[in-house]
Amino acid sequence: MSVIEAHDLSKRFGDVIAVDHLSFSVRSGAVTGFLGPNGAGKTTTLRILLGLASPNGGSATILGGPYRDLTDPLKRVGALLDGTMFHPARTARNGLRVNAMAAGLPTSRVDEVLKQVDLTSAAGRKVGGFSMGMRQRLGLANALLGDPELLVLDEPANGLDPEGIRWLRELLRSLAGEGRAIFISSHVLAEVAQMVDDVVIVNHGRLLASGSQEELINPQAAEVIVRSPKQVELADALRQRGLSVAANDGTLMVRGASAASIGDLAHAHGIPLHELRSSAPSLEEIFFDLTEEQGVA
Amino acid sequence: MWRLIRTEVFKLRTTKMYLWLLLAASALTVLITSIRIGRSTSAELATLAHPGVLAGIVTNLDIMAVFGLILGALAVTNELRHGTITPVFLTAPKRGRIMAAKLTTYTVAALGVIVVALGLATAVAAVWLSAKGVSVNVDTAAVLAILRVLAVFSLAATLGVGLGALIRNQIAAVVGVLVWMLVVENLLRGLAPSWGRWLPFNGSRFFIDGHSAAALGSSGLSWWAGGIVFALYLIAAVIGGTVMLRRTDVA
Repeated sequence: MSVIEAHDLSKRFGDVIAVDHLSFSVRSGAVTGFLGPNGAGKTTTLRILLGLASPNGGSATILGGPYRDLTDPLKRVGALLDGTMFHPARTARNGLRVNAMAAGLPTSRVDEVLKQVDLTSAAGRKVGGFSMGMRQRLGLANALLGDPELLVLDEPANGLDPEGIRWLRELLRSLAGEGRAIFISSHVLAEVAQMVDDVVIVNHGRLLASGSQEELINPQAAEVIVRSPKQVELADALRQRGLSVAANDGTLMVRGASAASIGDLAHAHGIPLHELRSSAPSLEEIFFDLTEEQGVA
Repeated sequence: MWRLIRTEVFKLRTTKMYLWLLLAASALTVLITSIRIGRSTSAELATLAHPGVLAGIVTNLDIMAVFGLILGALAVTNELRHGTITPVFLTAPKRGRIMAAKLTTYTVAALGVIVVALGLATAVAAVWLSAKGVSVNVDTAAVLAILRVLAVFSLAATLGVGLGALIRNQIAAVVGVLVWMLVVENLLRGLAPSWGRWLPFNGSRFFIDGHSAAALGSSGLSWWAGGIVFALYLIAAVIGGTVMLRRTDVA
């Protein structure tokens, strides 16, 4: 079952097309990374999903319908979005109480989520004096207020130091362990690569790829790394077969053929091999390949 | 709905904005009253015993509506300025209900401001005048004038909520309403009174003045016509603001 469905979504701001006929879905009970470089249209897409912005075309549903049709949305979906979400002159606790009150949640939830993000000691301080990291924690606390089954997090690691990122990863892992679906956007793949089950990769507002990590790591795209004392001859032989070959620091990286066929070819040419292994691309490599194909790093 | 109104009240309580506005409006009302009494000769003060005189003084408070207007204009623009509109929309995605909660809360909150401000001014005046042995004739006209000032002040906040949602930029909204109310309307009323009277705060001025049509020439309005003019602008601002709020993309 999908918790999020985007169907042919488009959004333009003047001449700029932020989201371009984007379709994807997010399944329940999984952590899904929403990946793409800065300016790829991730935030705009999330805002459309959450009913904060209207698309120029297409539709988005969340938990089976438009966000605006959810009754008590905070109890179903928790969201963390870019930018400030709290009045600087209000204390962290009062800032959360505002949202809890509007959602009909008890004040006790405010104290619980503050504890969950380690902000209890700063609860009485004004948000205006908070560091970026503290604001992100407060935003996460806010997303958790209604104990939602789905979390939508826009760049939650922004502003967090390495220790904070580790803390976030552990928090999200435990939240996912409780069976919640998490849709998490990031432009820094390394932040989320270890924790996502699925990915949706976008650039220029268009879908580049989506699916589980295993599906995306296509064996066809695997590189074979070969080391040979007769590197030049081997490279020529491989190129004659129409394979893509790149030399790198005494090794050749070959694409488009299996390790076995390269070994056979070397044998046929009488070329000795000192190393022959295939290397599946990491999610990070796929991500960079996909986004670079589009001409933007 | 009640939840959203309670939240709006809580928001007003947890920042200092409302308190400052209350203090400013009270200080100004007390100051105007004090100057007025302090600069009057005893012969002038003696006229307060005559019917209609107090009502005439109260009607000069029509300018106080600017505080109600600013209070209202902050309702939506503050949320936009601080980004707090995002959680507001996430919690209550049916935006018309947010608008309704804000309109209700800020109208009542403005009534609170003017009741406190007028109450303080009245207390100061009462003590001062009784010390001078001046008697004041609080006639029906005076009571009506006070009620009309209260109504215009709170409804100015309602209008302000609509305008704020329509204009969206806080500085533009606040400076805009100040310049409009204190400068533009006064100029237009002076330069072209025959159509200047159809402007919103000239309408409210005629409403507070409480004249019947017979007393006015071609440049005036009766109190009820003035009230209708003001109400029409109010309705237009509220509808426009609501439509705008519903359409706004929060970026």
